[in-house]
Amino acid sequence: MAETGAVNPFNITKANDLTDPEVESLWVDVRGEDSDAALIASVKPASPMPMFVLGGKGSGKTHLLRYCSYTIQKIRYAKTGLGLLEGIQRDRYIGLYSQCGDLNPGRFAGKRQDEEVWREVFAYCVELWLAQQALAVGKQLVADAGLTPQAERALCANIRDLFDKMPAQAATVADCLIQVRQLQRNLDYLVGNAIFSGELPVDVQATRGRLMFGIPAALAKAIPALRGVNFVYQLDQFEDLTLSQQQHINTLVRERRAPATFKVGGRQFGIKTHATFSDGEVNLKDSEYEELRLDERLRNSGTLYKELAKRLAGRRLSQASAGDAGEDRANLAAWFDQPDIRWNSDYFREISPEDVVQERAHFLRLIDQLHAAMPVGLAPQTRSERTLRRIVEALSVPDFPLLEKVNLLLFYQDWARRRPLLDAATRIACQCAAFLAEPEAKSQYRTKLGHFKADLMAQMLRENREKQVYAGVGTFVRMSEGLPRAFITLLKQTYDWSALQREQPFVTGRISLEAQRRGAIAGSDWFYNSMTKAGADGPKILGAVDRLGQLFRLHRFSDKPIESSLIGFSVKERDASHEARQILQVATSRSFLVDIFGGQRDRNSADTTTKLQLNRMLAPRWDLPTARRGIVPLSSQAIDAIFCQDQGRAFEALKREWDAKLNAPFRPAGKRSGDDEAATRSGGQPVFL
Amino acid sequence: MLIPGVDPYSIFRKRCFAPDSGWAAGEQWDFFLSAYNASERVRTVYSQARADKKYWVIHPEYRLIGDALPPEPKFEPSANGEDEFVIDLVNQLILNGYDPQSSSLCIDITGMLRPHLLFLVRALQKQGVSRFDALYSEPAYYRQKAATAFSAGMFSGVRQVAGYEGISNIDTSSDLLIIGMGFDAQQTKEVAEDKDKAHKIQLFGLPSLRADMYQQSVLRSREVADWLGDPSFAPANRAAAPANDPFVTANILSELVAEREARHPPTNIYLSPLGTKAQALGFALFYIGECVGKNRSIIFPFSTEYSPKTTKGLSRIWLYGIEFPIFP
Repeated sequence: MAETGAVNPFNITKANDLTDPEVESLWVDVRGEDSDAALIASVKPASPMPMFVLGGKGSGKTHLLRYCSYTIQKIRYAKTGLGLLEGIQRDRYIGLYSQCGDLNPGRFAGKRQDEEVWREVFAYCVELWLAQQALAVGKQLVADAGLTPQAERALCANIRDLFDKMPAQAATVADCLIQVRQLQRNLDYLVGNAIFSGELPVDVQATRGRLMFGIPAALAKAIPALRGVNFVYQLDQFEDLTLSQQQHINTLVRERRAPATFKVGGRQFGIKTHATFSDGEVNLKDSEYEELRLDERLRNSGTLYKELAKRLAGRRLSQASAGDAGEDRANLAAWFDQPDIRWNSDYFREISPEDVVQERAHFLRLIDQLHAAMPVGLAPQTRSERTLRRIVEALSVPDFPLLEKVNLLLFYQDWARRRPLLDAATRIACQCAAFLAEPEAKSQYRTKLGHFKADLMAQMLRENREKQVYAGVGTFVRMSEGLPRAFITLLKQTYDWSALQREQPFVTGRISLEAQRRGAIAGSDWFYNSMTKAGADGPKILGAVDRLGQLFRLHRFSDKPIESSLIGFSVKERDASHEARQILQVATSRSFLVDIFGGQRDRNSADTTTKLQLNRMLAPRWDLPTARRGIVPLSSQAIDAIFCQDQGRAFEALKREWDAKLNAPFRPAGKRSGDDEAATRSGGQPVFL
Repeated sequence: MLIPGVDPYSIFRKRCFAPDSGWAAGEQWDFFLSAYNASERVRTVYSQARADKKYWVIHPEYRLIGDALPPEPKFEPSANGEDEFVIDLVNQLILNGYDPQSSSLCIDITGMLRPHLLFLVRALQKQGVSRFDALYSEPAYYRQKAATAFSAGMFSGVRQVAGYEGISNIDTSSDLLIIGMGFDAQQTKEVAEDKDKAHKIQLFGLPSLRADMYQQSVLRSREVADWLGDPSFAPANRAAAPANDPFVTANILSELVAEREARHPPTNIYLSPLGTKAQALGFALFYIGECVGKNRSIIFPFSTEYSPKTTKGLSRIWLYGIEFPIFP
């Protein structure tokens, strides 16, 4: 295993930063009982049906596509002792990987030329680009197949026939490649010079699709071993193309000819259109193309993603330690320190160590609240210090501070319902005593403890000025929401913090809670700062997510949180404003919000609503939970207040409204300020309250 | 012609003046251009410079309108994009009597947007201009030190700068990106992310304009270390060139690229000048001198808006003599 001071095995988080051998060696897959669950199977690398591989940043698209590319295929064959054509015959595909940004697509615009001209020039450029991809691989295939010079000349003649304006007869595929490369160079020069010359005299020498589809067909005809093998143009980072450029690629997808096909990789939000230039037809999912939503698939796969994440980490550790037992998954969890959070654990006494219960932070707060509420009649049937003391005494459980927090939660719930407070405290004391007598017996008290334990623990930490806990490999897996890069980033940051604290991560001992917490915060910051891309929506998304985080934090640390582990909400989108709907949509497509599969029924009606949650990578920013249990239905007015940038005042009113309803003395509606009343009337209150 | 062992750009002349040295008395041009913004140094130099005709260039990206604009003669090209903007500008200059072959011209590059500056240099070269002077004034300091953001609006994307679009090699397996590092971490991130798989070299301004500016620039680079593919801040990924010297900057770029070409030729080379305008000028000279027609491009993270006032004060004035062809 790595020594302290060694290179962080999680340093490289992006597939683009990996070398080809690293892409191969760091690849891991999962295999459930159903082999279709494997990642490699999900992308159907040999299928002739085009596929869009979509996912958020860091969902593993690039790693997956690169793993299926010719360069990595060759590495795999070499490792397993297969010859090139032998391996390809087994795989039944050749992956021709490139990134759309490599075309420098921004240059196909302006320069005093019409859009129509640029459309044609871009199409020609793509033609030459992909033709070179096919020829570069073809050159090696011809060599491996041992084609005679005559056969190669015949192949070159067939390739030459694909041009409208035939180039000189080439003797080898390598010469064909040089010819096409020269055409590309000429085109690049004309494009760059157009602004100076004022013209773009491009001599298009091949009709759209002739080369990119024709060359694979010619190769398959010349090399028998390639029969039945698909040439898969893997175009990654589709989002880098303009709408018109995407339309051109969509046209190629529609008009593809065997044995060539496409895999298009991109971010969800990067798909600007599925329209084509083929008589205005639009490509239809499952008709012209299939779609793989990678992070959604991983997120919804439950245990499979957990397995994948652990294998990913194990592989990194294994690589760093030259084949040590890094992939031992059982051991991975053991490296991470975790607190004992059973209700009777000493951990809670350590958080709240005062022997005199009245001096514990949660009781000090209660006493202050009662003192403030009693004189104005807001503490039902509680008028004297004596009653106050009896309440505190009833709710106290000196040895188990966590149970005191449960008692207080129940007490605040009764207070909000205007029940006599001493009666409530007495009843709760009985429930608590029953639980203590028989902790395993089913009871409402036990259920409440189970549901709210994480929130109550978070409250205890905050009340006692302790740091929140984000710990354990399971927590990091959950936080990463199906984005392997997010998971690796969390491990990378945690490793760095651990090393900084002079620990020996993955060498000896455990990674401390503090290193894990700092790692989680750093990972969260990375996510927050990196998931937006250039564009006007970025600040709007961040603004909306900030507001949502503030509300959930307010709820979590309130006296009477209604839902446990609240980071989710549901909304009837059709009732929200256009702007709010738009921001909801882009925040989801950029992974700030996560669509909870299936939607949910509104509690008060049969309408299906959209159910979303804050991405758990963001949880540490607002001290939120990484597990999700509750969902709050939000009214359309509340959604507007959160998601419309100019609704700052409405949002502040919404916050005040939540604060008043969730915190003692639970001021009744008639006793709130004018602004809050306005918010209530406008529907700005949380519906679930 | 490049001569081994000789710094190819060292033949160009540069002079340095104190703002109160009466520098302008010794200089006289037919035409003087300066991009207007709200910085004190730009206005001071404009008022001191002596020329038969002086014009402000108004960049719409500074969002200065009405009373915020200077009363002096100005060119306000309305065209979009650095190329059409500059062509409009040069045409207006010619309409006002400028003769590319014979008129003397000085351009204060201090307030000029980088892509526009780059294209202007290229356009003048293509126009057959044999010589012009570029003037750069150093600020006393940046208003918000390391937190200074130059791009104020939305990034509209990273693309090649017009006139600096090289050949695109389909093999991208060992692309190289050299970033002239500035203070704007967001700009750095955008560029690095656009050429995600390229190996990245950070070219810092050192010596910097002021003593602490190098450290500040390094601090900002650490914020985007992930995107730069440089989590451990490896010395091999760093280089330095003086922040106020375009010629040494061009020399350093020339050396960096030559060394890479000799060791393991990059499949594509991208240059992105995000540092000072003087350095951006150096990038332009290196490109025009050694990169045209090759697999080398200059890229830039374009923004819809730029902050018109990022600096305070004026410390030194530099005058650079630019001559074409760069290598006779």
